[in-house]
Amino acid sequence: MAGPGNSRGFQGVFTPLRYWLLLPSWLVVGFFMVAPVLIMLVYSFLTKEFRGGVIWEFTLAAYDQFFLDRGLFGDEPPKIEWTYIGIFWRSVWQAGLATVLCLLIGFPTAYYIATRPPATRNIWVFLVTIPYWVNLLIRTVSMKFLIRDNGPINEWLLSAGLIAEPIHLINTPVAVQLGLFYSYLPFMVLPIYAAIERFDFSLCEAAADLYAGRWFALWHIIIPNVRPGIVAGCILVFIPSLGAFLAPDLLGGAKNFMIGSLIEEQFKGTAGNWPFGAAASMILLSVVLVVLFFNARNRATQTSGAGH
Amino acid sequence: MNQTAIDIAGVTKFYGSGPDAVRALHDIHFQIQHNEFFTLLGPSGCGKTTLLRIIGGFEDISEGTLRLFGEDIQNLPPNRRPVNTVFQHYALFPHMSIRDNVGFGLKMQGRPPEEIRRRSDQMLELVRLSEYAGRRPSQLSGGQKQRVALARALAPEPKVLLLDEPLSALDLKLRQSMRHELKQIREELGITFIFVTHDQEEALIMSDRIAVMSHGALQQVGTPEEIYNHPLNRFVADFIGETNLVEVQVREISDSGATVAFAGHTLACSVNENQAHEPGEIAHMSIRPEHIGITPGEEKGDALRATVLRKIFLGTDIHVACSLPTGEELVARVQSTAAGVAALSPGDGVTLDIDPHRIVLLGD
Repeated sequence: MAGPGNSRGFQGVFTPLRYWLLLPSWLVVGFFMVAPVLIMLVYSFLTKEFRGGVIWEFTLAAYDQFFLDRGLFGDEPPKIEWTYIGIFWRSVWQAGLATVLCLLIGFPTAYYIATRPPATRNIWVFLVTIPYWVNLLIRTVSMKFLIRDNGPINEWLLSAGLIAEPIHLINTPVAVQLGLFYSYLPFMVLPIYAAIERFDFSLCEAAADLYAGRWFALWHIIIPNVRPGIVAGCILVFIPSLGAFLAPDLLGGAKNFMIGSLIEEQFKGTAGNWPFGAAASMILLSVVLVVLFFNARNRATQTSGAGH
Repeated sequence: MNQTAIDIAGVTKFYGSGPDAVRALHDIHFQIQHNEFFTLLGPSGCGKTTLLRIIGGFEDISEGTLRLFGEDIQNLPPNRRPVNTVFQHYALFPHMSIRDNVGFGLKMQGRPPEEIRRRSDQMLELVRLSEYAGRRPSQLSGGQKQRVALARALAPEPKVLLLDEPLSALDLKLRQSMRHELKQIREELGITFIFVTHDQEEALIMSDRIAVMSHGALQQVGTPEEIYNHPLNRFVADFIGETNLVEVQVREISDSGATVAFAGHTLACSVNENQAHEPGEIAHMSIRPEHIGITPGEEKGDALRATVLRKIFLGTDIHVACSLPTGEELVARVQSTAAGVAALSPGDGVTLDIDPHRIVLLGD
């Protein structure tokens, strides 16, 4: 109910103060978000220096190394190098699977929490977030301890007579998946919870009143209306899973290398290759940007259809 | 034609259980005829919406039975009851076009696409929104959303339509035109409407019959005229329209009515059927302001004399509040054109004339 004069007050009056007040935000975004990406972009085109670091000489060597195999001495005709693409593919696959699992477990969880009485909802949300007050490294190491061959889970299953031999999980893709799923589940639960909490359940009553069954209402009334929360949750799980290196390193071992670990290796100690690490990061970033671009376009067509 | 659409017998509803249980409805009995515009009227919290939700299937019954055209439906979920609801806040599906909203129920009934399309368009025509078929609910005004909600609920041809305060979110002008429109649509389609409202004026204008509720209990069921002219008790008399509720002492009871003592005068009045009063008893009486006549100047004899306290101009009518010598206050409503009324000012003496056929002795 703001009068016309009211809304003009903020929009129309020019004030230089406005720009000064925005300056800190611009500086933070510029220095800590844009600049690092630009530095990475530049480094990915520089020549590698053997003790780590770079020589300021333009080359495509890092990208070449990622995609092409020119033999041991670099003099053979180029073939496609599958090693890194394979690692990349494994990362995408693992991150995708983690996203699907988080969605399958996270959606019912979020739905349950959002449909509790308002007084108890915050307790449930708190319970979901409690583990995240502990450092991710410590949680991942604890997970390793829990699932190792002579860890408590295997010991218990053995002593209960449910299994004859310990289930071997450490250094398998399953362990990596478990780690990713566990690490990022709340990032799925919270946005979906927020969306369902805002959802108007009288729409479900209207659907039931008009002869729709419960499953139909879930798929055609609830899910379309909470889709922004689901998409946000998927992005928040997929992107960090894609670049994760703690879970693959600690739970997966050398055989289950993911792109995050590959990048991490390039910057560790003197064995690294900074331009190569930077190039791998840029490739990862491009994939993420493509995902975000499609999401943004999808959302744009949806909202223009809805006429907001 | 005189078929019973809804039969509610001994319906009681508790929320919660054990000693903390809250009783929302208490032993409700009534029947709604087919093709009737039936209104559940009462202040907020009286249980009218709970009763409507019970008929729709959104709440279950603690005790009692609910029949729809003779069939016991209390164990059917909402999606299997041949009744549709117009929700208070419309509950239109925001992600669907207006046409898809209206066609939703038909689609769920498994009707063929061309029939869905035809009937949705027909319904949109009925509520005069054909040109909005392709839009989304967010692009419509409140009144338009209201009509879409109505079209959506009517499309599957329900036997009974439930309306939960559908006009309360609209502004006055729109509300008045929608009252008219709703009544017209119901007459056109010939189905039973059950309408929930807290607005007694709305109830009087629209309904064939009204059930007045208070504190989870039924107070009176009847036509608007019966409810207005023969309220059974103080609550109904006070809630419907304006009235003067006064305390009287019963003198005599006869077949045709009663005589009571009021402010030192003896008045004849009517008594509702099935209502027992005894001589000597203190009871309440309802006198509608429009049933009190005012003559300027104090007449001699047996007439009821009073002094003007204040005067409120209402347009065609004037409210005159008067105080009787015994201290009671009565409000009279007279036409502004009535002789001498316009010239009255506080402190003037007047003579009141109460129409004995129009005053009712009330039960508690």
